[in-house]
Amino acid sequence: MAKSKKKTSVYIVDDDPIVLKLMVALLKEAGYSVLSSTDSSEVITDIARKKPDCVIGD
Amino acid sequence: MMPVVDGLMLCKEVLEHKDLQHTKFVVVSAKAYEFDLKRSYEFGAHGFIRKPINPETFTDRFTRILDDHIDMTFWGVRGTLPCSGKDTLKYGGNTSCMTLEFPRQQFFIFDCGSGIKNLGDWFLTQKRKGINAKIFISHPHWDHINAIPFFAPLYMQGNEFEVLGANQGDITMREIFSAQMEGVYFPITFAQFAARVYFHDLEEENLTVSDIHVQTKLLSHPGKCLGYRINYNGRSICYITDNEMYVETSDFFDPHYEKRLIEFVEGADVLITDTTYTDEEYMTKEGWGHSCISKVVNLADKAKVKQLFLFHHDPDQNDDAIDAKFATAKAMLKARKSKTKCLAPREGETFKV
Repeated sequence: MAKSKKKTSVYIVDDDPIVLKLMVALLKEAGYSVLSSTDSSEVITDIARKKPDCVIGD
Repeated sequence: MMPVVDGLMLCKEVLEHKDLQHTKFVVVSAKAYEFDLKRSYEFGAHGFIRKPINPETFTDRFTRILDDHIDMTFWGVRGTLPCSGKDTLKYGGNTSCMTLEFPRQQFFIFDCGSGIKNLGDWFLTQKRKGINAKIFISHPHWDHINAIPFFAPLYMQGNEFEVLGANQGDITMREIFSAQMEGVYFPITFAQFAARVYFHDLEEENLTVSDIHVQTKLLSHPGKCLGYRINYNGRSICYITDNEMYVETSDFFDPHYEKRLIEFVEGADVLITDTTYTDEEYMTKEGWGHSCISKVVNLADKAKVKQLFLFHHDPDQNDDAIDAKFATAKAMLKARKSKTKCLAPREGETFKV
């Protein structure tokens, strides 16, 4: 389980920096590779480039 | 918080993007309304987690959505009577209770034996609020309902439970549920539940809970007892207890019943079933409503179930006796060259399905 989590990438988009920081910390602790942004405008371009396994959005 | 439409539009953009065909989208939102949850799923979101973020549950919830797995947890694996003492520490001494937690938050509870007390405590440690669960009752014999009054979430406002099970003739599920909490038997009455609790009498039927399909079947046991088959996204879990499969030499052996039961559990990923007795013990317990190892092995193998979970152990069996039943079941499956894997779950153990 832990092995598969390390390979899993998550891109979090949330304009609340405190909530974003909490989610990043929790998912990193669980072994995920985490990218994040507080700005949803134009973020799709970066997401498409990074090709994460999952996007978390508000 | 971004306006919801922005989050949902981002969801749409991600899921429709040609370079992101394998990317999932999870909505994490402060919007607590059912409408917003449904709207997110209509936009194709794979999951929905409500804010505020609960550090106790967030990672588990997220992983369940991402992996699309069901968490199957055993809170009590015994039958008939709770038992305690050092000889029951391995498998636990609580009576029947098992739960399924699905990726989209649906929560199913099977039976309210004494194991449900620990489930209630677990909900509290997780600081869960607004619990919305369905409680499926196999039948109302004591070991399947005796801990209803001790399930703490029933006393908490904001929680919601639908209780489903077979009526017993003219006695409804609601009457069964409330009767054991009448003043003579217990000082707190059913009317003092703060959660919203409502009832649904079942027959042999099919029902759907969003993307989960539930089938029921009457089992061989005194009174009306229902077995359940849960089908979700290509996986199936069968909860078959209590159930007596008479041995072939018995006057009561019914090949048609066994054929129908095999069809009901056919190809299941998981079969959790009444394995109360060893074959030797069963010789003096015919007609008590429970099955022995060889009959359970025969059912699992003939139905080609992937995993057989031995369940509902007799209170006179200690951990060593359950170990011995487990070894016997595995040996019988091996002798049949069966592909079915056998497990003996312990109280508190969670499996991903």
